[in-house]
Amino acid sequence: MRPDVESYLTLDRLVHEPARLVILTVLAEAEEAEFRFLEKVCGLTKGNLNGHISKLKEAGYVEARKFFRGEFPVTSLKITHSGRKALKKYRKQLNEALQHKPAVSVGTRKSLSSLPS
Amino acid sequence: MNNTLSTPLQAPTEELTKVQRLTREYARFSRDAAGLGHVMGGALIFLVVFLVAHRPVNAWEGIVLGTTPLVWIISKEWLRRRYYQFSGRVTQRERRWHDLILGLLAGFFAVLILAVFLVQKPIQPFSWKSAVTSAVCIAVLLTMPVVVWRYLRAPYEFVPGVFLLALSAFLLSGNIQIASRVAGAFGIVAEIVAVVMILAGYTEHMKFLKLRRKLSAMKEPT
Repeated sequence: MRPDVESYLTLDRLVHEPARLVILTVLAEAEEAEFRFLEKVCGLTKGNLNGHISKLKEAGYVEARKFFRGEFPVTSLKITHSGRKALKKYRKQLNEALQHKPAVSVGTRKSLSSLPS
Repeated sequence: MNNTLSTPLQAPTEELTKVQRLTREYARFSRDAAGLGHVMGGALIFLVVFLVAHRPVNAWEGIVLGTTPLVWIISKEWLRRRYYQFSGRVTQRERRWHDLILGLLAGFFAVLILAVFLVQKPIQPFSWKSAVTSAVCIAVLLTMPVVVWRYLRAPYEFVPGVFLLALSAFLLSGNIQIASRVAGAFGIVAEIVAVVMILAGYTEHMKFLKLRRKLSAMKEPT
């Protein structure tokens, strides 16, 4: 297999999904973030966000902590060590894949090269 | 979800960088930034140091002034939780070494201030009153490393915070003369840092208002 194609195929699909990529990016910037903040920043509905978080939890990429603040239930999320590693690996792989001159526009390549580290 | 983020290869990564920066800025208000909390702290420190250094303070006034660190920390934490983290709590990433060094440094200052207290305190025959006041002073000083490690982690909070806690220990234990001597000798440094804290707090608050506008402009879930 051509190395440039292979590098795309080995991308972690769990992280590759845009909503989950944003969730992981947000969580990687904090020690812990509440569900309410993620809902606001990601612009996802509760159900949708819950679905993505469940998948990330199953993969061991995030941890959830549930507690009550007064009468209200609160969910706080934290990226795990393996989640952080997976995100770092994904960014590295994607950047490497772009070094192989993939079939994406110059503009996209330029913007991807500035992927947050 | 924003449609522009349909696939990462087409996704404008500026959006991701923006989200990343926004989260980092918002999370700062859980620990390093306190906005109006810093403005209030700076003003309180300035006021207490000025009063203790420049006018005679009686025992009751000493107790009232001695509670200012508590008033400051409670208000700061209240503002943090109820006002600055309005869209759910996001805690800043831990910097264990930084926090540990701050705690140790505060411990060192606590020992130093305790030494000043023991040297400055006039030698008197044993009395229960004197023993109790000394115990109050030592107890307040012993809480200093924990209070600094937990609540005073911003760089410009440290010096005035430690100074205020030391004054508080002297004032609450009735050692007002020692407090006014210490305030007279080192107060100017604490006052300068307090002014810096007020300015930093104001800048942080302005940044927060900008951040709030950005967050409010974000699309509601569809």
